[in-house]
Amino acid sequence: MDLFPNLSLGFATAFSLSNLLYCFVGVFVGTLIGALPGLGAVTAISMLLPFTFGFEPLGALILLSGIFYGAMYGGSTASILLNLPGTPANAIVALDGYALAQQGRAAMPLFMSAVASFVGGCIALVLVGVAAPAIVSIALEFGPAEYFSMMLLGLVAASAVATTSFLRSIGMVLVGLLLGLVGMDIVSGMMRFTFGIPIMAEGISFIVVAMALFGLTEVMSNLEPHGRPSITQPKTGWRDMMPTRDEAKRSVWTSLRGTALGSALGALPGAGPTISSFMAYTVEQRVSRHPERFGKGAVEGVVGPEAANNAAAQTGFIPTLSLGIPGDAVGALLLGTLIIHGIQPGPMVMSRHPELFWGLIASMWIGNVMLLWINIPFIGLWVKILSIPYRLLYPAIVVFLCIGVWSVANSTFQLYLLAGLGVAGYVLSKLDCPASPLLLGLILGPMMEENLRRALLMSRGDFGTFVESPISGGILAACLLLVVLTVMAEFRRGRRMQSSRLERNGT
Amino acid sequence: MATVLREKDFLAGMAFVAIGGFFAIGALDFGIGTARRMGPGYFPLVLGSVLVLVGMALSAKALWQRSGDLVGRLYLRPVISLFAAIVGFAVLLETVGLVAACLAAVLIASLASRETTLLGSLAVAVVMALGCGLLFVEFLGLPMALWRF
Repeated sequence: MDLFPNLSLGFATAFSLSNLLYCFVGVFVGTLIGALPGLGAVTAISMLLPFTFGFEPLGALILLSGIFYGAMYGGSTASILLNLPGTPANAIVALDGYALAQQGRAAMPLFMSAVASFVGGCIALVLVGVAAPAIVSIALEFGPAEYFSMMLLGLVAASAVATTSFLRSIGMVLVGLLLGLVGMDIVSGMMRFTFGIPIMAEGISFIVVAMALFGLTEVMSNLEPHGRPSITQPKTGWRDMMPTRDEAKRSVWTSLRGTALGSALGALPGAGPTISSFMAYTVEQRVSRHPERFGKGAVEGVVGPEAANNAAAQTGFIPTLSLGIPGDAVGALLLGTLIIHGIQPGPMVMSRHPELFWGLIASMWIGNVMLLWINIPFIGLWVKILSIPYRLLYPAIVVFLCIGVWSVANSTFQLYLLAGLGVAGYVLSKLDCPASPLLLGLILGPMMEENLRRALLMSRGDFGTFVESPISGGILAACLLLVVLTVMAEFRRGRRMQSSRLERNGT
Repeated sequence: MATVLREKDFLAGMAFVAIGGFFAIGALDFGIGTARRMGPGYFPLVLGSVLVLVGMALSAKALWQRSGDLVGRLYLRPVISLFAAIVGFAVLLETVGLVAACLAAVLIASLASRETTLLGSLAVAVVMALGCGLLFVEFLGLPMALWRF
């Protein structure tokens, strides 16, 4: 393996002054956004994306990915102190973290979650460096048929794993794919679904969609009247942060188990940090000799999920960087960033732009170190930021959304699109339709159409080309299996819910 | 029977049918072509039709097994005020400039919540107008007018 020369190239690139600055800004903003409940990493990335148009592509990637894994660190703060998850991936940490906070020991879980995140992130990064090049060497053999099948698998897997209702997520993927086709058809030059509006020829920008569905819709939902808990002001001296000797000993294996679980799940499309952290919690509860401690302030309940979600946040970059197929909304946004900077995503990125791939990996490692230093000594600062009331915060978010959307194309048309999509997104969220699959579809739509066209042109219209190649056929078989299993599980669950309802009504 | 019309599954399915149908019917005008030489309408037609099927399956499932999961109340106040704030921002940005757009957007958006106070919102509005003007126009150089006379 030429891992080491590559890594040294990466570190040489990432240690440039401007890239260090981008990295710092990214992880700092990420921690801030993560700490504020009701503002997710996807919102923050889409808000800042337009302002990175003028950067070098690597600088933009470093900054935007820094927001993502920074938010994983920051998100635990709100979970522990407010019992309100900063990001969904930190929700489970609230169970034991908040219990500890109520016992007056808030600083300890805050400290341990930063350390666990660091451990998870660093180990997972090594895996990214090893696994991604291996996947690339396979993916270089891919033709259009394999690509199409691979994207299909990515979309199906993301809808099957991530949410409770498979039909809903698949529907949202399809809506996204269709929205991705709006604009000028590259082959025929025909305008599709543009309603005669000239600016629509460029298509619907994924940034506007992301800001509408993850920014505006979130604000609308957050403003629905329901109570907000008050914050407990913790003591944040060094001594308060230290775990007891017994807690520290229990945390070692827990953090390693969490890392292993998170790394494995994170690389799969759709699973990602949220599911990993929930699974890690369950695993810790199973292997613990004292499962009754969980929920009452067990340190394992903080350390395991935090290590897992951060590991998953890092390995989640594997499919995006090696295949050009994003596994979740963040991957989709980063992929979109590459396209905006004129870099065709896919396995060629690593050989054509090695400094981009390895620089990003190195920057993430540097970012993890920075996060440790941003988080631990400044816990007190993050606690203060948490106490900014939402009524002052949300109008500011709206203005940032407006300016960000306007700067996508320096045009107010995008603002009207934002307002309309925001309302549509609110209605869809009321129907429990998840927004992430839509964003994935939107980014992959044009690429899927292009590969489908190319594959069928090469096979002279014979659909057999998708099953004749062993790779493509195997991937499609996996797709089919996944669909069948998920649909069966869903129907079984539906029937169980129905019968339990009937029993309730009967008594 | 009437409650099924308020079930989330049923409504989501119907929304998918409507969206899929819109794209599928629209695609018919573009020229479908053959699998070998796809016209611009081919892919949207296929996707739209599949979406209609998915939507029908979801609605049928709701009729078949009533989950009793009804759609929650729509809170129109935040939706309308935030919609108005963004449209107001867009209109004022083109006619008067960024400062007025920021002031208006914050104040209209503040109507979305009962918890906001006039004084607090005014303070946020002024801070945002000044801060955004400095940060985005003076420092980052976005081609926006601060104030048009």
